Amino acid sequence: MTANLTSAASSAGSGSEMIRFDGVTRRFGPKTAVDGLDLTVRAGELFAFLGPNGAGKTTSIKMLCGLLKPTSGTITLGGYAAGSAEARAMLAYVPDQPFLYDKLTGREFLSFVTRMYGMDANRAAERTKELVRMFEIESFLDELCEGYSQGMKQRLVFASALVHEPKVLVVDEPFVGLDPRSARIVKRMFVEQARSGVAVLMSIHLLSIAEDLADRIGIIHKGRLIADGKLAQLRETLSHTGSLEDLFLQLTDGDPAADAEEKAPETFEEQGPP
Amino acid sequence: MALRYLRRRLLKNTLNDLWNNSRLRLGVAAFCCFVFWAGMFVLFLGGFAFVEQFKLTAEIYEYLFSLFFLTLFVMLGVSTGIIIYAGLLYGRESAWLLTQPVREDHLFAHKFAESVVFAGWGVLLLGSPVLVAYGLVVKAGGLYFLSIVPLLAAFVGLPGALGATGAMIIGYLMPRRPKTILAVVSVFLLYFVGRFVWDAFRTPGTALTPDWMDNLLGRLSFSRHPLLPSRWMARAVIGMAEGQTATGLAYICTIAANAAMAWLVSTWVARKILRATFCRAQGERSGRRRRQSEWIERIVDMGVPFMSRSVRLIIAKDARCFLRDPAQWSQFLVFFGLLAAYFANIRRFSTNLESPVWRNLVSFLNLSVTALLLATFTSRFIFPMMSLEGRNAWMLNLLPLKRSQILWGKFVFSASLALVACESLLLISDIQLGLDVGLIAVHATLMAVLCLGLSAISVGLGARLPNYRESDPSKIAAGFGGTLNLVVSLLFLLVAIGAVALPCHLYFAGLDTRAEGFRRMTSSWTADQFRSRLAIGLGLSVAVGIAAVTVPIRIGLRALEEQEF
Repeated sequence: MTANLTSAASSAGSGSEMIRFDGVTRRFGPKTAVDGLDLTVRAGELFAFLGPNGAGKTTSIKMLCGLLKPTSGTITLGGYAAGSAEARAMLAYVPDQPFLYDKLTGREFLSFVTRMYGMDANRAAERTKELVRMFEIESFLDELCEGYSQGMKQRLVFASALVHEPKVLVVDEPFVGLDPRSARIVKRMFVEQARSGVAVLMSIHLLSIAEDLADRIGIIHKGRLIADGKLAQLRETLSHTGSLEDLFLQLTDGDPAADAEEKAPETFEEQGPP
Repeated sequence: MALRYLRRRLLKNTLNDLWNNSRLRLGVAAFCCFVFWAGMFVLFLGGFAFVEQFKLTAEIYEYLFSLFFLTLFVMLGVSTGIIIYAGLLYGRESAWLLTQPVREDHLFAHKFAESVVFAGWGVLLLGSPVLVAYGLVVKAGGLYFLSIVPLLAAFVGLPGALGATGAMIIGYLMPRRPKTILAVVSVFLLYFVGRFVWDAFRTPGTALTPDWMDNLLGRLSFSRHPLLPSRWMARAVIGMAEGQTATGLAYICTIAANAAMAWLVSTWVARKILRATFCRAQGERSGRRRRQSEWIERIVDMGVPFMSRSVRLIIAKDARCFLRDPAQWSQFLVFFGLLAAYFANIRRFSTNLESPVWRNLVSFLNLSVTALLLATFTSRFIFPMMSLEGRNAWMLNLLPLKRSQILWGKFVFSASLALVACESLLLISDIQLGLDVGLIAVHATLMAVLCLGLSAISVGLGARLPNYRESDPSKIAAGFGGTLNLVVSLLFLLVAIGAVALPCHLYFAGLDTRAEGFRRMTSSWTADQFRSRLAIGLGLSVAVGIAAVTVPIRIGLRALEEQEF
């Protein structure tokens, strides 16, 4: 079943391959966090990476960003080895717990990032202006980051991730701490980025957002990619007509509520009548 | 260039923030630094003046400086190694910068600069009063005083670069054993320090006689090995002070050249292995299953049965966290263990313990050292507890628990640990010194007052001056609240110990036929008069202790009740 599901991925997307995992395995001692992962994300594609807690999503993303090395297999970004200077130059990564310097203002932080990418000062100023407007961060941009709320930090981090016009955007749980308005801004940004040719890979737990936004969905469970394709393709292959949530639960060890219901009469019989 | 911009902005914003919002904190920190510097200066001025009485002073100075800089060298190497290891391999900043287009050696240089600035500040604070005092005693020229800062600056880089390189190599080769490595390094260092101290104390001959000095210097000859940078520092200092400018400058250049070379090697190592080392370190995951440790709860239940069940659960929780954090218990064990070993062998180290005045002096010195150690531990580990607990306020506030119970729990935990450790040490010391039961009881009472007072100060001020933003306890302890806590603790020790130590010292010094001045002052003291004066002193200590417990606890309770999380 997995083979059928993952083969659906090959027809998805029309751009060049920007992210490629080839037989990637990562072990932590005796535990295998990622097991033989094969995955490609093309330019202009918005890929949602789903999976239960501890399934291997963050490990895969960290390997993609060069923060962890695979035990075996290879990962490339735009044809360059993950972690190489060339790969990093085209990458933007927003972790689940983004890092900011408390004693920098938002504007200084953006300036620091543009300098790191060696951007031309005029282009940097222009791009900063665009992103400040897009993420609506002007009102607090000159305050120290230590005073920002979670949502303010998150918006600034997104702006800093996009300031150098990356070709690959990798985000881990992007909607944590965002209010509905900020979430809408971020969702719109994802779609715009993908439409402009950026390969977007987001790890997410909110299935409804994945359903709404993603061009393709991959489900990872116990380190293995057990499903990969467009939502319609996944439904067709699994003969499934329900929501993505039902599909997800079907693939990842079932629905705990349904399990509990099934077990309930047994428990009742064991306890005897009241 | 971007990283330079980052450092510049961070420095400017931090200083502005401190100046605008924390002038009191800045003032207290500056005052503490000044007091420390002045204390060191006076101490070493007296020490160097004493050394001047001997012949062969140049040779003694060379030994002293070689040992001093060797100690600093080891401390700097180890501390920079630890800072680089933790900051570079486990820090969130490094993780983020490694996804950016920053070269690995530039990232290393950025973190290294941070650690060297911290280390350099410490070396300046520790080294400059010593070198200034020496310069004044030997009447050195102006060039010597001008050379102090560049000399110390050149010195800091060398052990720092070696420590950082070692940290990266260790991280690369043994990525999953940071705590084991730290423990092994600590054991080795302790072994060498212990052996050195043991050898020094076992020097044959009567203390401070020429023969004894000759023997002692012979035992310290390892510190003058010509390949040791500490020896180069000693030669540079003495050369500059004695007007042998060419010799002094040659040694300064040798140190600077070696520091530059070590720095180049460390950046090369960073370029080669930093990313791989980071990946290996990140790959670490502790899958160790922990047992419930129910014995901790049983001990707490037996130890403080009068406390409510909720408070006992908090104490057991804190004890469990303490035992599972090697950074806490290992330091506690190492320092208190060293003191215990010293106290247990105190008779071997000194030949003057038959004299009542010396015995009394040593007993109070031991008590003071134990209390000072406790004050640093309560400031470092107990003070941050309320801040760290505040981060879990969302949970604690929902529990069927009064806020005051959290504070009492911390107090009982700290005081129990302190009482067991410090009273045991004190008993070992006093029994080894052969003090009579009455004096041992006085010391034990005083120590109990100190343990309770120091615990209450740290818990109370910890609740009054919390820092809920910081998750690192060492940074909480190093902040304004932690510094103030340490200052208050030291003042408390001064008053509480002084009130008991003074009558004891005056009485026993009066018994000593050599101490004319004291005898005149106290010759009229009978044993009964001494006991009554001692009772007054102890009463004063107990009163100060009661104030030290009640006032901070009340302040802490009030702050905690009013606190909004």
